[in-house]
Amino acid sequence: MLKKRGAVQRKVIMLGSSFGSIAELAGGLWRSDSGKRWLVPLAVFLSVTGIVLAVAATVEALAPFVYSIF
Amino acid sequence: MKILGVSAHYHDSAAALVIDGVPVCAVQEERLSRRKGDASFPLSAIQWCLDHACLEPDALDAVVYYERPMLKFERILTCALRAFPHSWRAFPKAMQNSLGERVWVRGIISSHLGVPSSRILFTEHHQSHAAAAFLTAPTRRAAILTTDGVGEWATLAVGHGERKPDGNTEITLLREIRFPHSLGMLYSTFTAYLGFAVNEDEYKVMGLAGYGRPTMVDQVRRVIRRTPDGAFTLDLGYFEFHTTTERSYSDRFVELFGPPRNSYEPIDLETAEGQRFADCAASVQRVLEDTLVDIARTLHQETGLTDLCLGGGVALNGVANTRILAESGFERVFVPSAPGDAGCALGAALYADRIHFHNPDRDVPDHPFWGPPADGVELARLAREDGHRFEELDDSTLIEQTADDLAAGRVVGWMDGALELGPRALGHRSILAAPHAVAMRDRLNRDIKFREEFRPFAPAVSIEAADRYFELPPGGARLARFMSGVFPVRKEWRQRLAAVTHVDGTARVQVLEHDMAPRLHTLLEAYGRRSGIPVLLNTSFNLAGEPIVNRVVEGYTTFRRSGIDVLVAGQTRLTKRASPLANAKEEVTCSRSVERSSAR
Repeated sequence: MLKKRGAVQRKVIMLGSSFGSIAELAGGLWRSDSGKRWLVPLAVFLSVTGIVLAVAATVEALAPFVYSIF
Repeated sequence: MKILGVSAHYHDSAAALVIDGVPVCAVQEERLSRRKGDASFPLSAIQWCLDHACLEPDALDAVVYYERPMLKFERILTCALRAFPHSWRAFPKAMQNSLGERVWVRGIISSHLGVPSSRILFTEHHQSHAAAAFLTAPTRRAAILTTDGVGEWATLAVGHGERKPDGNTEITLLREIRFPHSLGMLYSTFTAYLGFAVNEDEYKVMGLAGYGRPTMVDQVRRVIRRTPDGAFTLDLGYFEFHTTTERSYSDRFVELFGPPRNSYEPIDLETAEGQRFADCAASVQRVLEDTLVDIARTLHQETGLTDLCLGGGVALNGVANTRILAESGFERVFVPSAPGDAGCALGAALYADRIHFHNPDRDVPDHPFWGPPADGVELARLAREDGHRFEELDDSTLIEQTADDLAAGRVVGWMDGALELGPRALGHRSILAAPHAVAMRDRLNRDIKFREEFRPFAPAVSIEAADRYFELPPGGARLARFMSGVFPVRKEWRQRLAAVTHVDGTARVQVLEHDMAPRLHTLLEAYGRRSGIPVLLNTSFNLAGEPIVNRVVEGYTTFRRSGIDVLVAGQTRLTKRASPLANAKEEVTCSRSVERSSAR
C-alpha cells in the first residue's frame, strides 16, 4: 500500500532531491562535447526557478511572497 | 530482486514489476484511470502492481524510470534556444511543462513511494524500447531497431542484443538519429495535417492509406531526404513541431500538399478532396516503409543476424513491419505487444535487471497478459443486481454457446483472464463477431465502436488454420502473434471474410497459438465447426475515445451502452434483456446512428 503523503511533504521531498537532479543536468552539460557549457547557468537558473515555483504553488503560505521573490 | 519499472508524462504511462528476472505484472494507467492515453504519473498502476505482488514499496530493490528527464530537458532547452526567435512563444510553455513536474521524477517517485533516491534508476528512452523488444522476445541473438517520435535526443536507434550462454545479457545500441529528424514526428505531422489527433490516431493514417495511391511520394521525399550514410534528414522548413507547440507543419508544407483537413469534417472518399487526403496518407506510408526497410536491410547486412527486434511507437505500423520482414533479409521479426512508451515500463525494469544489476538471463513468458484479471463472479453480481438474465456455465458449454451466438450473428463482448499490455486486444478484452459480411463491419463501426467507416477490423485465426486464409510469408505467424503485421487475405476467401478484409485486400491478423489464449483458441475451433471458417473478427473491447475495458464493471457498462448482444466474463454469460430502459438506450443509440448516417 502506498503511503498517502500531504502535498507539502511531497514537495519538500521533491525539493530535497532536486539539487541532485540539477547537479546531474549541469554536470551533463559541462561534460558535453558539443560545446554546451555556456548553457549551464541558464539551465540551472531555469531549474531553480522551476522548482521554487512548483513548491510555492503547493505551499499556500508562501503565495503572498511569490511576487516578492520575483 | 524486485524491480518496478515506470513510464510516464508523455503518452501512455504504465508500471511493470519484475521479480527475480521475470515480469510479474504490468498495466497502463489509462486502463485504471479510464482516461485514454493517460500520461500522468501512474500511481494507480504502481499501486495495483504492488498489491498484486503483495509488496510494500520498501521491499523494492529498485524503481526504474524509462528515460532520463534531465537529458530530455537539455534537449528541449537546446532546441528552444536554437530556434530562437521563432520559439519565443513556445519557450515559456515548454519550460512550464518540463519544470512543473516532468524533470523532477526522482523526487516524485521518492515522495510517492518513499523509496530512497539511491534506489531510483534511470535508463535511456531507446534503451528501454530496445529492452522491451529484445528481452521479451524468444531469441538468443537479434538485431534491434527502435523508432519513435523522440526520446531524450534519439528518435531512432540501431544495435544488437545477445543472451550469452553464461547468463549475461548484452544490449548494444550502435548508432542513433537525433531530434528533430524523426520518422515518428514525420508521421505525426501528417497525422495532424490529416486532421487526426497526434500521438493517438497515427493508426488511422495507416488505415486511410489503404484507400489511396502513393501519388505524392515525390513531395514527401522533398520533406524527408535520405543521407549518404543510410540515415535521413527532415527539411525543417516544412515543419514547426520543433519551434512551436501549436502546429506541427509550416506554411511551406501546406503549399506543397494543399490545405489541411478540418478535423470536424468527415473524410468523404468519393470526393477529390477526400481522395487527396487518402493519397497523402498512402504517400507518407510508402516513404516511411521504404526508409525503414532500407535501414533494416543495412542493419541485417551489418550484423548478419537472422532475427530483428523492433521497438518504439513506429513499430505499431503493421504494414511497415510486414515489408521489413519481407524485404530486409531478416528471417524473424519480433514486435512486443506494447512497443510504445507503455511497454517501456517493462523494458526499463528488465534492462535494469539484466544490464545494470547483471542478473542472469531468464526466459520471459511470451504473452501480453500482464494486467488485472476479469472476474466472472463480479459480472454475475452486477447482472443479478440489475435484473439481467445471466448464466454461469462450465467452460465447454460456455464456449459452445458463445460459438452459437457468433454463428447467429450476435456480437460478443469477451473478457477472459488478465488484461493485455499494449494497444491491441489480443483475446482477453475483445469484441468478437462473425467476420463474413460487410454489414457486420458497418454495424460495429456505427452501433458499437462509433468510429470512422474507413477503419478496418482485425481477424483472429488459430495458427493451425492461418495459412489457409491468409498469405503468411515465413516468419509471418510470429509477426502476427501480437497483431504486428498486415498480410493479404487469400483471394478466394476475401468475400467470405469481408468484414475483416481491408479495401486493399489485407488484414491485420492475429495468429493465435493455443497456449497463449486457450479459451479463445477453443472458441475459434468451435466457431469453425459451425461456419466452416475458424476466423473471428476481433476488435478491442472499448467505445471510441475510451480505453480498453479492464474490470468487469467497465465491460458491463460498455455492454449496456452499445449494441453488443452478449457479454462473457469468466464463466458468466450475459445477454441483453428487452427492458423498457434497455429499449430506451438502444433507441438513443439508433437515433444517434441515424443522425450520423444522415450527416455522412
